[in-house]
Amino acid sequence: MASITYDKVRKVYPDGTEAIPAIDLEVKDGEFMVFVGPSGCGKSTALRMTAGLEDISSGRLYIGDDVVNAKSPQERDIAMVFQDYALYPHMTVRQNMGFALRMMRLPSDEIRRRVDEAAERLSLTALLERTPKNLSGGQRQRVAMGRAIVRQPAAFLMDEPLSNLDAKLRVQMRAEIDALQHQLGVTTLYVTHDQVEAMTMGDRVAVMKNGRIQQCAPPQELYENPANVFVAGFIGSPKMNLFHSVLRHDPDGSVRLKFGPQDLHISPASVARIRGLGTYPEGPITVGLRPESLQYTPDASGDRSIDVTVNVVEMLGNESLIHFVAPVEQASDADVRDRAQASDEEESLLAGAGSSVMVARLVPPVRLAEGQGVRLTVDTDRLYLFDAQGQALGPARTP
Amino acid sequence: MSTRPQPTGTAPVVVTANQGPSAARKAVNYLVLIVLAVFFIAPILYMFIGSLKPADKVLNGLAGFIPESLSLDNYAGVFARFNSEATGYFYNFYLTSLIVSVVIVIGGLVVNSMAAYAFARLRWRGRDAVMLAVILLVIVPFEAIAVPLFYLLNGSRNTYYVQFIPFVANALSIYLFYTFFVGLPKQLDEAARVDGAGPWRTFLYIIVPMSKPVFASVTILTFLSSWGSFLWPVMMTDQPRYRPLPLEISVFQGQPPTDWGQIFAFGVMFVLPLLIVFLVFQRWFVQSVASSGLKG
Ligand SMILES: Nc1ncnc2c1ncn2[C@@H]1O[C@H](COP(=O)(O)OP(=O)(O)OP(=O)(O)O)[C@@H](O)[C@H]1O
Ligand SMILES: [Mg+2]
Repeated sequence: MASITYDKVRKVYPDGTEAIPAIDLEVKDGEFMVFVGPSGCGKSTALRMTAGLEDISSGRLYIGDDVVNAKSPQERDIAMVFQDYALYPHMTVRQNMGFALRMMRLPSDEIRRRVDEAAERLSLTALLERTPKNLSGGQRQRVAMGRAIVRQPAAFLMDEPLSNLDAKLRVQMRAEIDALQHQLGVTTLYVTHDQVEAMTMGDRVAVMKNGRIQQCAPPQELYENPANVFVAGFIGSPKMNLFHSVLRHDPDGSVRLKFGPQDLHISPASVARIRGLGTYPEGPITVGLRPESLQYTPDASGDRSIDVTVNVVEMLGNESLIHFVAPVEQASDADVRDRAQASDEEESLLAGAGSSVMVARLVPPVRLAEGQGVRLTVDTDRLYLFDAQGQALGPARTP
Repeated sequence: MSTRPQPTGTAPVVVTANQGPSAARKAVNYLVLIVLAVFFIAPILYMFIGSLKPADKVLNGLAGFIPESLSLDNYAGVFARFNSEATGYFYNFYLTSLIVSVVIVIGGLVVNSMAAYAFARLRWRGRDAVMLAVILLVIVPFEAIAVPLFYLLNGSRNTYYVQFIPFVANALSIYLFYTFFVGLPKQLDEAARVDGAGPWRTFLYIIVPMSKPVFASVTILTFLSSWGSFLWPVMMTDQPRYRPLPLEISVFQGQPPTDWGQIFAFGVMFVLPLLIVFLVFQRWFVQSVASSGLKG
């Protein structure tokens, strides 16, 4: 077991692609670290450099106290779980799981004992003599896990190990991997592009974009205090509503944010809580509003409510998602667009210029008609504010 | 597709299409296959039956196919005619062919597969240029280099090794291995490396066991060409002790008295190892193709 430290680690592929400009990160001994980010952001590259399957262009990578840049995979004492499992098709499950031990030249009864033990732990005992092609997807996934844990390595590296499973199995395996990791206490790097997976599994989550870590923090922290617009838009489902607004200071110390013809008021107490807001220059600002910070309040009046038009209603049993047209311009940060699904863009087009489609999550569910005008109340104490560079205003955060 | 109810009065249509070709079609297929099979098998059968018949009944038109007055006399006759220092001994020809072919096949499997692995998976300076040279070598016929090779190896005439040395390393085999290895999922190599296997053990434990089909086809191809090798032994051997079967069979044919029964017997003994190798490895080949579920 060991810590893993990235010191300005950079990766340029031979064809000139700079996949990772620089990563600085320390994964603590025994920690479950998740790399999450959109496709092509360099997650696999980072993992493969850690495994020794890709050269490190510059910077230093430590496993424990040793610089391992020049070490081959077999010298690094790490185990990897591949997306397609990469089980050896000509070997039985037992041989697959024992292969690494055989390579370590352990005595065969020791190999047998350790494979049996790992198989027991993963409920694979009955399958030990089968070959991979006679296993279901979930079973293959377990064998891939088994192959990693018999090693008792310094670290586990997993590259989207659940992406080939169906949704139900994925949820189950998520919990199992999480439990296993905590039992074994082995340092784990886990790559996924699924933010829900990242949020539910990691001790800490490193959100990546274009080969850079945008923020690395425990899941709750990411959710509550995203460092920038990208993280804010990436973490959370349905995703945060982000829009352009104009900020004005009132003489009483409160702040007004333009929301179409209306204004949202932030009380002086809240203004004081968000660092930098009291002195923020008047003018354009980017605002983030989580779907759950909106409430359906038909009779409300006042400076925290907004009048909008219902576009689409999704009834989800215990809650409803209301997509509504709001008279604000969606924050056009390219970063946020990265994750915007086609449907979102379509919705924005639907909404027309100067307006955008936002989402409210209403618990308990409210059945609203499409096209209906409704009044929603905004929890202005829980607004997120971002400066022109997309950096969050608020509590100091370490990236 | 459609779940719309059928208009009333329309009888349900029983679809019989897409259940395999029709009977007529099948008959035609079988006919073609049978004709082809006859064309391929007939000469071998003719030779086999002829080898068991007395000389005057062998070349007898279609009647040559009739198995009658069968005996092993022709085989005994062949052995009897190669039974002195001057003519050489039959078992010596056989031994020569076997030694040369086995070394070429086994040595070739080892050397060429390893070379192909280095081309397909290892990274080294100049790799692409060398690979290009290998591919170019595939199209150079042996006849083109036979003469220079002759002068190069002239000092080693009448040996076994001069007959296999030039053929162990083989550009075509390297190319065949290479294309197969390149098609294997790279993730398996990577998994093996992470599991602690270096290039050697990755090759031995992962690549080789997954490559049975290509090993089988290279075995068949190499054995076929080395067993039938003619030009090079003509150039390099003049002592019967070191002459392989193809040379002797041609010598035998030209030697009076021409006994077709014995010539056929010689032919059968010549072809037998080819058939055995082919049958053994072809089965392996088909089996491997059927069981290669590479994706985990
Ligand atoms: N062998 C390579 N040669 C050149 N560029 C590469 C190579 N492998 C990856 N890249 C590039 O490096 C960047 C990062 O790729 P990487 O595979 O690490 O992304 P990822 O975050 O794992 O994406 P995904 O979620 O799709 O797996 C991409 O722009 C990709 O095109
Ligand atoms: Mg990837």
